[in-house]
Amino acid sequence: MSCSLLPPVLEARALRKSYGGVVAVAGLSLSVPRGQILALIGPNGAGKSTTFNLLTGHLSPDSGDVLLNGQSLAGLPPRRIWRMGVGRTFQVAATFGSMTVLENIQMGLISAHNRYRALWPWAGALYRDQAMALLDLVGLGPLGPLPCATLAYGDVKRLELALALVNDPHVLLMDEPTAGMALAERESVMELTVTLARQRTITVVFTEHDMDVVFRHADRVAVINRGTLLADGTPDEVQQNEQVRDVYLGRGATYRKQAPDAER
Amino acid sequence: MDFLLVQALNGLASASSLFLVASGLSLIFGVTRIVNFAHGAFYMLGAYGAYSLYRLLLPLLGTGWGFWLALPLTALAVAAVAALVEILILRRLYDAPELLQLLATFGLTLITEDLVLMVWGAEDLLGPRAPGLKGAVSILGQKFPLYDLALLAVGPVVWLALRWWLTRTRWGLLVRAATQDRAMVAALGVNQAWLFTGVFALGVFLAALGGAIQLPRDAIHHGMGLQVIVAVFVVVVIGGLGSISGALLASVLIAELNAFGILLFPRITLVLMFLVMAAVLIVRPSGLLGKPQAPAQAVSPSRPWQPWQPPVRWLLLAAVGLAASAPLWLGDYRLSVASEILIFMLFAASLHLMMGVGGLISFGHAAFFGLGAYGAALSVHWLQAPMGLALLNGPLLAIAGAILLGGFCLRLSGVYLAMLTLAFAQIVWSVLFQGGEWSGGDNGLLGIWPQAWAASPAAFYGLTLAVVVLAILLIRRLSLSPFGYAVRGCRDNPLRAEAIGLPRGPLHWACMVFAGAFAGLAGALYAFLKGSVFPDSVAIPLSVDGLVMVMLGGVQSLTGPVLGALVYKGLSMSLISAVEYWRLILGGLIVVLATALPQGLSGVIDLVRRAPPTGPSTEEPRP
Ligand SMILES: Nc1ncnc2c1ncn2[C@@H]1O[C@H](COP(=O)(O)OP(=O)(O)OP(=O)(O)O)[C@@H](O)[C@H]1O
Ligand SMILES: [Mg+2]
Repeated sequence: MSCSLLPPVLEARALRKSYGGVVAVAGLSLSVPRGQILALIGPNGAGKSTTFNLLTGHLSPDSGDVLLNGQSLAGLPPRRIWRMGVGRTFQVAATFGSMTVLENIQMGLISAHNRYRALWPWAGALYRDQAMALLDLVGLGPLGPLPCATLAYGDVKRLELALALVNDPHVLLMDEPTAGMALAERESVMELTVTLARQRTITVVFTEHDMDVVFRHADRVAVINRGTLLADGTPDEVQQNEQVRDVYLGRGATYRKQAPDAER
Repeated sequence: MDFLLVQALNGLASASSLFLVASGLSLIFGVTRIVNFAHGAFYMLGAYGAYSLYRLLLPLLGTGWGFWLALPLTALAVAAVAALVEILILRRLYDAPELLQLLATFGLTLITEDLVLMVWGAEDLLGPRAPGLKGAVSILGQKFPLYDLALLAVGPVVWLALRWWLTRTRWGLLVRAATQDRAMVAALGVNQAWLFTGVFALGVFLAALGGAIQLPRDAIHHGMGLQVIVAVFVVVVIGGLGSISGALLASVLIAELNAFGILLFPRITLVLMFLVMAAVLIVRPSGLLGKPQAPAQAVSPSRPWQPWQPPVRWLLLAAVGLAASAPLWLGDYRLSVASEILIFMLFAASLHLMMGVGGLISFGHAAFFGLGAYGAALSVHWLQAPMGLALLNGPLLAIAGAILLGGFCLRLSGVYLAMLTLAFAQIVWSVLFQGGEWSGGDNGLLGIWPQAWAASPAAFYGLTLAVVVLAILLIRRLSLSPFGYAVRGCRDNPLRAEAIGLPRGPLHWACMVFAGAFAGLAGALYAFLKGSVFPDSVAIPLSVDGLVMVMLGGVQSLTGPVLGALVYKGLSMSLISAVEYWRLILGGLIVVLATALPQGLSGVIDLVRRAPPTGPSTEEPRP
């Protein structure tokens, strides 16, 4: 799959980013063909989140470029990139705390329909059914009227997934979508993501610390370490790779990060 | 030429004092993340304290020792008071939203002002000349006071001492670590509480010393605290909050600007200072040497907004009905009091739109109120506009102001925004105050009376009630519209807002313009209610009144501020007439509110009502 002939939807070219002295991403190139589900893995601090933020315009690279369908995204703010059909979730889930679960989605839909400038309608009455449908899709149906703050962390992650879907993205970037979830829930969320991706031909890039999840659901796995690409191939190829075993898998059985509740 | 040199030296001498206060403020902010509004009050205490201590020591030690000991001893004593204040009050506020911290320390300022009035009286006091440094030296034929020459050295010496302390001592190292990363200090196993107390006391020591060394130069008076804090805010904002070297650079810049501004543009020195600040903020939003701050929040987004439930709806309807019947059972005087309260309800509601919905802290909301009042008054005075048109022109002028201010503020948030709004209000104030004939200057504009049909107190009350109720309903509609949601989304989570296509800057700008328009409408009504306008309607106290109303009611909902305005305005109008030391009471009220009742009155109502589960509080226990 990694040497697909399809033209890439998303392409990173020699991306570099450093924070002061720390080089977080050191010349990373990646190209993701349409509809592929790519797992970006690597140890803590490898530069995964930084790469995500470079792809979505939340950070601007020191050098290098990001292309979406062959078009450069350099200098575009995240909101423009989003309007070009790139949805994302964050490692530390980002939702609107003063709104209910349902209103969060409504907010997204209002923006997706470009109606956030409207002064007169009641926002709470707009796109209700669509919002409910999205909540049902991610399994949050009954939780609509609850304040965001009361959700369990796993449910917040689901809410973020729903938020990322409001404008029917054709690229979905998910930073640790299953962090803080129990094993069964991880499976079901990834299952859902994969099903959606196949149905709607969404190109998905996700990071994940649970190798079982990665190898079961990804079409392709890219391993980065210290900001550079260490290996890139099918799950089988990557699992066989000596170097990857050394720096990453060799440390023990499946490496699992603790639920990042503490980061909230 | 020689004259210019002396003027420059003069500027540098003033810079020293400014630097002492500013570096203290910066130090405290760096470690505790609190912008200490009360810093000016401690500066003032330093001056008054030194004055009294000197007179106490004089018979015992004589002039020489008496004077030179009084300065540091006073600063130490004030620092001890500050440590107590930190332990009793500020400790409760470290994790509170910035708005509460600013307000609580402002409350301390009010309290101090009245205490100073009580102890030292209202008259200006003249301090002694500095023993041993009474004469003057001749510089290029110009006389320059010896004491000022000595002051020149104080700034750089303190700067060097602070740098040495910060880089070479264990405590200094801890302070620097805490400035960079608070969590790290906790990890180092240091007693954080005492570190904070120590830093606060040190910062206040510098401020009090800054006040004490002014003693031989200037008369001291009870307004000097507020005066210096505005200048110091400008200094730390220009230099960069938390940066000591930035404070030195900026205090020299501002002091020189003042020294020469007085010569070149005596009427607009204040404006000049703020223009420089605005220019710096536009180019470097974190000041010359400051580091970018994480975006701060005025409100902790803890629970969803609830639409008015049927019982609340009926209650509000009944309240409006009752208010409408007031002309039947209230006399003329009370009716105009009621009109004033209504006007401030609108003012508070407009501030809520900006702070509660937009999360934009404003310490200069009176600017819009004042622009509205002057917009109406100027069109009546100069254009003989009818009342209807004037009531429209007021908000229009406020909108123009908001568009201007919003343009400058697009990239700012948190305390920087609060300070820029404060600065903007001061600019508007000084333009109006020094405006001469067209604005009436200090004397204001008189004879702004409503037209005949609305001239009676009852009729004007009716008009006010109608306009205010309508405007508040509009504000509510706006906050619950897609636009209001989008603005609130940007407040709740800028990251997510940007990631779903919401442009934060323009949305906040628009929010500020709407808030300005409604505040301007309130101001225009106020002009007609009073029949006159004065620069006071733009001054800091009015901005703070607005903040207290919003806080008192609770910033989480629109009903809160409106209720807060009712209670606060009613209370303060009766207090001012009945009590001599109203600032003491008001200040105390603010401090108690900020520390004990962060959610305001609506928070209390929630507690009593045992509202539906609102989920785990977002306020985490202090580490
Ligand atoms: N804002 C920042 N300032 C300074 N350094 C940073 C910043 N963000 C990340 N870094 C550093 O950049 C490197 C890459 O971080 P990044 O967050 O991209 O890693 P990651 O692969 O997402 O790790 P994790 O699995 O922990 O999420 C790390 O060394 C990190 O310490
Ligand atoms: Mg990460």
